[in-house]
Amino acid sequence: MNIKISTMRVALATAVLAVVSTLSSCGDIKANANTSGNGATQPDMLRFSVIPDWNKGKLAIDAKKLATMLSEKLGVEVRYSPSNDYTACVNGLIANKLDFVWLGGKTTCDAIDASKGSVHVLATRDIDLHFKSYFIGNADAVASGKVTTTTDLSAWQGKTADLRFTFGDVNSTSGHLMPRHFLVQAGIDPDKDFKSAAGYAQGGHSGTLKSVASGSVDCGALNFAYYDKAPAEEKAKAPILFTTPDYVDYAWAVHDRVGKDLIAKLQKALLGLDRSNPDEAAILDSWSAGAFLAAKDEQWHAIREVRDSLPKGFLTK
Amino acid sequence: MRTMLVVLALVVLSLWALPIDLSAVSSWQGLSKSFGRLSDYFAVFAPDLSSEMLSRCGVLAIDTVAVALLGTAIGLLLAYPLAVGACRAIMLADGGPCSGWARWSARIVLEASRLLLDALRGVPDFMWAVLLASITGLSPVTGVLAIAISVAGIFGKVLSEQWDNVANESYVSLRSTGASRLQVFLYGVQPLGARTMMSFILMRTECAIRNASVIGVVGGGGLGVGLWDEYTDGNWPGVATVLLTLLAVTASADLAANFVRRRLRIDPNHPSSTRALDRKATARRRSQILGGVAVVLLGCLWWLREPMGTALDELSRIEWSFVKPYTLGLFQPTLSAATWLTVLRESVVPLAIGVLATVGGALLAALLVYPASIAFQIDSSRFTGERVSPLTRGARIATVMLARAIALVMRGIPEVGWLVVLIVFFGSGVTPCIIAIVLHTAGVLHRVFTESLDDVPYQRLERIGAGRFSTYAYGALPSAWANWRTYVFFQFEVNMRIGVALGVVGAGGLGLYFKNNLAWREHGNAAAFLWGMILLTVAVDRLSRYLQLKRNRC
Repeated sequence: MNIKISTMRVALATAVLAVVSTLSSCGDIKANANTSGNGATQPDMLRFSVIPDWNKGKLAIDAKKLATMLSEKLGVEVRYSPSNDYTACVNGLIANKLDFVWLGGKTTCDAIDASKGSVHVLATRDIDLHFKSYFIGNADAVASGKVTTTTDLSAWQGKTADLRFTFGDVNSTSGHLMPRHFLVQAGIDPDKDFKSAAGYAQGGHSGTLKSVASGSVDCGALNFAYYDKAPAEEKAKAPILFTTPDYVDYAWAVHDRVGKDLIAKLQKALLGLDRSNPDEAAILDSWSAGAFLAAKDEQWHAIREVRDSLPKGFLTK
Repeated sequence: MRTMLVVLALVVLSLWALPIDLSAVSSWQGLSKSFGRLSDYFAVFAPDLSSEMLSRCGVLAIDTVAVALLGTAIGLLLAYPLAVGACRAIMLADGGPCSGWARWSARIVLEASRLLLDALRGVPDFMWAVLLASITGLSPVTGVLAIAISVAGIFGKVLSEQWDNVANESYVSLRSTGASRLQVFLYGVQPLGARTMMSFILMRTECAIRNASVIGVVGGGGLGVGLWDEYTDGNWPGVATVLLTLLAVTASADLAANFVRRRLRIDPNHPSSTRALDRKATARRRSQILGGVAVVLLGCLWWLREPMGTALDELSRIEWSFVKPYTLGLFQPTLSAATWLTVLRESVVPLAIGVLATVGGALLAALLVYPASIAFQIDSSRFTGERVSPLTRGARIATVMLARAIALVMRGIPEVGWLVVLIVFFGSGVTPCIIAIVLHTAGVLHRVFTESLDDVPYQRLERIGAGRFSTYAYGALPSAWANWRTYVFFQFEVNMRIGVALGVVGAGGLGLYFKNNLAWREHGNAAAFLWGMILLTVAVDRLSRYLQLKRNRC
């Protein structure tokens, strides 16, 4: 009995010690990362994330390259923190878990609104001011006439009853918000008029492309820039059916807590990415950007209006 | 017979309610296309064995185990005080507070503890992970907390019920010595349940290792994250490597737990030699086990020190003004009738998935029981009197091993693991989800089915005096039947939750609506779907109590 108690005590004491030491080492990490405050003191670390809208493995590599480059340019540690989905990116920015984020059009508006104006657009790409979505169809379904190429979506009215359709992520602007908007405008209810209610592909826009190319679904809608960069054999299996009108999409969004000076430096670093420097050109290429441009929050207002005016039945019906 | 009819009716209803798409297998053309996709993607299942991938999988595997062990341990620590609060024998025992006021407050504590336990259990563990992920992020910490919360809910309930069931007489002598209520609990009530609890703790730990992989998919870290990332990136060799690693981890946990359980279990047909009661040896063994557990848990803490540090750091900076409306929002579901009608309608999806997958899994498991039974394949001469040639005996031993290995693989790969393979074959939708759950369920049920079959005393089988198969059909099966039925019902409860979980990743239903509403920041709607899930779990739980089934599985 005595043996048992003493060993238990030793075990317990060790456990307590270990917990205490782990906690205190965590405390050290915290002490190193000076809290940011309201821009009064400059933070000594910036945390950023990117919406996982394509290939997460490739994204992590690209984002780490950007982190290294920004760390050098700003003289502040810039750390990439992966996110599981779009919602986590928005929430992280508002909750002070992230300082700046690469967001889609809809999520940019979400972040600005939910932060009550503390989040602002930092930069965007040249292509985002004239962004579009493609509707693509499975090659076999196109060959058999099940789906048709069109310049006007309303031509599909009444012909969608045996089509399986997929959007991308529910939070995606080019994979869901705008395609849904254009379908609704063309008099097609995506939740009723397709064979099964339109689905939401996993794995971002590459998931949509794979589902359509493999024939898991007959057609889908995705980000045009990713499609253009995809391998030719995959595109051959999923040709373009329809191209949407232009709208404004992705942006770098930053929270005010970073402080005016550092925000200005960060913006300068992003806008200054130079195509003549091979490392910087590689970063621009992985972002499908010719260059990053300055932009104003108001330019995303049209997206906000689409978001707010879209029938919300798909969330509750 | 009546049960059979009810089950049959439920199956028909479920088939009718779900949009099951069998185009992948209903024609030769469809079949060849499906197989084409499968072999295209998996290139005849060639895993990525590069050292980079292997080391990544190794790290993720340790993450998974650390998350599961720490989660279970923390859950146990949380469960004890809650169980004490929820235990009538402790809170309202004779000799307890007799004055009106004290008795009332004890009763309030009792009811509050029970309600809290229901809520912790009502939300499935992966859903806790979804909720927590917005605060703790994509991190193993999310997984640890999610498992801890659900383990606390389950253990708290089981412990308190077990303590309540300890007969009063067994500790009345202790009370007569004037022991306080706490002393009665510590020296009278608690030790009596300890042995069964050991077995249960072991089982939950094993479950936690499996569940950790599902939780990973929604942000909890470990092999689940790896699996989902490789799958969504379409990197099939990577998917294959993660699946094999997952199988290695769960199968080792499975075999290890089996080994220990066999030592705790009393097998009527293979009685272990009674060990002389040696107090010193028992104490030594006990302290060795405790020390081992402590070392392992410390190792887990050490392994996860970095994500825990980051999580603490983030928590210290978090702007609570954001967290408050988010969290409060989930307690204020919308009252819109249209939304609640959808909640009701979409509850059918996990229910129907649960029914079909459980029935299918149970049938598949039952088919595999006979070839895997030690009683009927290896020991049969002990009750049928047949003579078995060494060759036949060897073949039968091989049959047992093969059947058990198949079941081990089926349960070793979690539902999400099966799902990613089956989606390639069937295309996305409800069909691959159901079959994924069927395969996993069959593996899980196979173990308990076989165990309860082999537990039927051979003397009883001897009396039947028939051949092998007749003895199985008319002797063993009816004896094991009641046990089987109980297990199947629990599995239904589990599968229904998994149905909700897979909804988040594509099967539709409550889970998908919940996730989409969170994404569109409609927290009132999200709350309605969350409460729908809780109410569904509570309803099925109350049904199982009404049918007086005892809970002892995961």
